[in-house]
Amino acid sequence: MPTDDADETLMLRYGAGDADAFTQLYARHKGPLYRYLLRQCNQPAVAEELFQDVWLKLIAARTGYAAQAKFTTWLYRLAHNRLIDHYRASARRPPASYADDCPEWAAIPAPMEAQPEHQEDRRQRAEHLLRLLGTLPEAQREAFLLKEEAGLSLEAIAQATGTGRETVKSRLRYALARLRHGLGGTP
Amino acid sequence: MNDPRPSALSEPDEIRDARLSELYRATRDTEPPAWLDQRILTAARTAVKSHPTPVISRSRLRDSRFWAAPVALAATVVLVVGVWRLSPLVGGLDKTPAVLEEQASRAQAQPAAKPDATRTESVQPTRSVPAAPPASMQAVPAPSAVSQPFTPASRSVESPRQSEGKVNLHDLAIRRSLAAWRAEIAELRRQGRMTEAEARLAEFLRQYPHEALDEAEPPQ
Repeated sequence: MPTDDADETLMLRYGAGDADAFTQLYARHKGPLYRYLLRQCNQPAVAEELFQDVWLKLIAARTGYAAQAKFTTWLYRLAHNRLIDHYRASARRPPASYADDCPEWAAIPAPMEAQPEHQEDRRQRAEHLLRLLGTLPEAQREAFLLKEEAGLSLEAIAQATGTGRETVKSRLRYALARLRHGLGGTP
Repeated sequence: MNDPRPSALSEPDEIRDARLSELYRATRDTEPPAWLDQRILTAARTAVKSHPTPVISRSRLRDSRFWAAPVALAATVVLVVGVWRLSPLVGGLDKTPAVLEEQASRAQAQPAAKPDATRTESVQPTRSVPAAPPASMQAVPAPSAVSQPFTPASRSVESPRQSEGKVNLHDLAIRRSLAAWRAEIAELRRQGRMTEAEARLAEFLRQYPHEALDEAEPPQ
């Protein structure tokens, strides 16, 4: 039976052998985590593999979880690391956008074909937003997704991605600017 | 002119766009496939079942580990002290046969008529000597009159070699005594003092009731 227990409490209970606690945790976080991975790699098959790996890693580390760390931050830290491993295993270097100093971001214009010419309904505009999101540099997209999907604060995003708070803020600012611009300034 | 507002208050507005967030929420209907859900939930339950959390808490485990080293050290000390205390006793046991052999060799050194081979055997350590007497000892027939005075109890507490040495010593003493008795009785008979000879013979038979008296009988 679902409860209102905090994520940290559920994770500790699962570490103590309560499988139902894991079921609740999974129900809470499976959607945001899956979408985070799917939109970062843009391939459903790869996203499913990464998604499964992250949860299996969490299961393996259940007894070592310490309540000092916020569960969501810890979960997305696992996901971020798995994503970086995926980039490296795919013979791709981690995207250049993960560099802390990337001033050219602001100069990159949104694709012209992404800009709507007509007023669309909400669903169409949402799909258009997703396409714009796919054009963002990975680091900006990640910061946006961690904020929107996981609800992490600037500090939590910085912890999860292993970077500084100011860098996260900068990435978010650029991401929002590009999305607004792509949507014609009136999303 | 600079913005008088503290930067900390303006930062959240820089990264917050309510209308954009609302639009994005309309896209959050994508979920992992059901088969993936089942796989992960099964893995989670299997992990808990196959590796249940130990009943003993980590603190108790830490406590037991804390005491493990001192307990092991104490056990080692007790073991070493015990072995050390036992070692003199073992040495004493080792020395016991040597003492007995020394006594036997001293006893054997007294009779000059004892064969050298017997004396040589008696000073050897008991441990290296087999239970059966050596061939040289077996070759010397023991007098039938000598073996009877010894009791089984007296034999049971002595090693074969020790009892052998004492038998020889006693044998010589009895032989001397027998020879003296016989000589005395024969002399009395030779002198015709038959009454005294019979009295000495009776006394001899009291002392050696199982001894063969043929030699003490007057020659027919």
